[in-house]
Amino acid sequence: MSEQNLNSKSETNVDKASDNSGSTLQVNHRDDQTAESLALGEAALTDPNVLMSVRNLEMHFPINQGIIFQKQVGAVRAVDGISFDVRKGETLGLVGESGCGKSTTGRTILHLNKATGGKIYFNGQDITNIKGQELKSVRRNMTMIFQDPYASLNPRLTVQNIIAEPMTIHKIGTAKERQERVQELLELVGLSRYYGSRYPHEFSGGQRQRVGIARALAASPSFIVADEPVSALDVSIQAQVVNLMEDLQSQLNLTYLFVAHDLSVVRHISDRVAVMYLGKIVELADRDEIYTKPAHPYTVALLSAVPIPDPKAEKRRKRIILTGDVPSPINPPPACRFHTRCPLAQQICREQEPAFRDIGGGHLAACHFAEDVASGKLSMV
Amino acid sequence: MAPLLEVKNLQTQFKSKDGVVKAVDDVSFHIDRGETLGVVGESGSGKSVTAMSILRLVQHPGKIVGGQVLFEGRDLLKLNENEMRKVRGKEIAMIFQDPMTSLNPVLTVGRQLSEPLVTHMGLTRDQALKESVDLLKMVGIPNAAERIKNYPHHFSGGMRQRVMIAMALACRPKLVIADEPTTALDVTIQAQILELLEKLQAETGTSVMIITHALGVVAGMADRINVMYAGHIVETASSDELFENPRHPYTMGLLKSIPRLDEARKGRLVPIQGSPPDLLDLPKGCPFVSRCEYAHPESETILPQLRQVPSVSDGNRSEHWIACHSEVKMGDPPKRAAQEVA
Repeated sequence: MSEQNLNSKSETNVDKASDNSGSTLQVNHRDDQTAESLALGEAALTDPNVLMSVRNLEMHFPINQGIIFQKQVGAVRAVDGISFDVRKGETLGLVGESGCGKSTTGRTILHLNKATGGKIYFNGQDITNIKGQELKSVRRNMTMIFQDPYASLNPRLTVQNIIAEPMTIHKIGTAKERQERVQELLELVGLSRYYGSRYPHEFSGGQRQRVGIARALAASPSFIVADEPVSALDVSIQAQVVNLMEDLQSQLNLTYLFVAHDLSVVRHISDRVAVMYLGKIVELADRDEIYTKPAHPYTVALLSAVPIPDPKAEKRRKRIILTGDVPSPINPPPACRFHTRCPLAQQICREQEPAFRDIGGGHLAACHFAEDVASGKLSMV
Repeated sequence: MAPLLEVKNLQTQFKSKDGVVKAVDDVSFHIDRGETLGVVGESGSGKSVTAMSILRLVQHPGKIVGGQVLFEGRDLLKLNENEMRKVRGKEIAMIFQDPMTSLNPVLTVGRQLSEPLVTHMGLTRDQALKESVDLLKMVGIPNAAERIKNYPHHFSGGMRQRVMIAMALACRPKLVIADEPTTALDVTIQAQILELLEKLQAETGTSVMIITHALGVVAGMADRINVMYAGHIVETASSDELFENPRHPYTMGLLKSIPRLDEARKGRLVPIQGSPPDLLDLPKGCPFVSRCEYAHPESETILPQLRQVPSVSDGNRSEHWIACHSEVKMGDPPKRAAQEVA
């Protein structure tokens, strides 16, 4: 935390210097101390309304060379220093394109990858380095819903055994109680309570996803990472699963981290939305705020690229076509990572990394010109 | 003028040990010159099989069992394999969904681009390579003269799809069939590719048949749209008309069930109940009947045929057809609760 503060402070100073040098574009001054403490400070870690906090989380996958004497020659910086809070009972949408690190973030939080840097807090407790029994007891409270309902259910187990597995692992109840609980769960997710003896192949994609959700709920968790839970489903089935997840959230008081690339679905289901690009969160705000007043040029471009099912609206819209491809996360561009594709990039963007800062009302963005982009003063078209 | 392509009563079936799957069942439609036709449907609706049937690329155990595919008046289904080979790539070209697997990994991109030019246009290898450079430039690949020496794995997904498009357009085909051309791509790359397709179509005047499951992709691009369900076309109308005045309960259900990016949340989504039917065990009547909120008593027993309905959005200038027994409009109260099939 302190390291980040130091960084952003020094950046502020350089910002001011560049202002003095007569740059025509105004760089907005900010009080990083307040911004950081407001949104992501240590205070949030003791805030009873925050369930999950992540600070400067890093997940670098090593690249090794050599057959016998392996040495690390580089790293894929899949997640490269991100911070955010998930409040109790909310849905935080995490969006971005493939390779931006959104799924890795979800997996790292759940300890499916071992974080290479930063801290993870759950209910105020630092869970970054816990192991063994301690990890097991924390994991009971957080689970995952996977993307592919065909690959994430063991084809050799009956639905009863699939759903009961988390309870078996955490030694919850007797065999009889577990069986009853499975039947309850099946009904809860909209399947018949008598489906327990069937195998996954007897179900359609949407039904399998319901089984996956029932399994996620088996140990009564409070926090669920849903990794693209509807993107493998047919269009007509997606709405069923989205509605089911919303119903379960209000019935069971669940908190979701909803990882997805479909921005329309994310706008619908999320309370707040975080946008990732190349291992960093570039913007985080309330859902309507981020869609109506995006403050990061990448968010603006991403939103404009989503086709809308309405020919008239499509004809009115101006699409911002980003040139080029996403750079490699092995060797991301210096300073602002988006500068190689950003139509608004200035000299400062190539020299300094913008701080992830509050531009008002809890709207966080990592762009030197965030205020002007949000107000429309700087137009992307 | 006669349409460029006319498909009449096309039937394509797959034999399996459990029975016959009627993947495309009595489908008729046409594509005019210079027109973009969108084909929308879920997996298993028969949209890709329709495309493969036009090019006669359906593989065993699939078989075209009936109908006609008239391309400029010629029935493609009657051509021999040699004649058909002259149509593929030259007259009708295809862009596949997955640019990762549809290029040959052991041949340079230049070699692959030259191939249709040598076989169909009679160019020499050198001429073809020169032409390939121009094609790569046309689809916006920088440094094209160097890039033709690269192999597909040197290109990103979006770039590979550009190569696929260049290949499809190499022989100036009259019809390009794009089967989910952007499904495997990220949304910002999808925007690049869709823009490129539109631009190239405006320049070359070729007809395009674009197949997708995403209504948004065709909304901005297509002139007309066919909606497919369980092997049948259930609705066809101009793009404006289809989105403004959908008349088939399935189309209405699709439009109601997807959240829109440009609108604030209006409450819960309205899903289509149940799941797509088992193609081995289709109901006798309308394939959508078990999920339909507006099912007519006849729907259970009689398969509805396409019939024309008034086209509201443009004062009946374009044609609007639906395959439904009921007379319903978007917003009508449901006649019955759809059978809850969880």
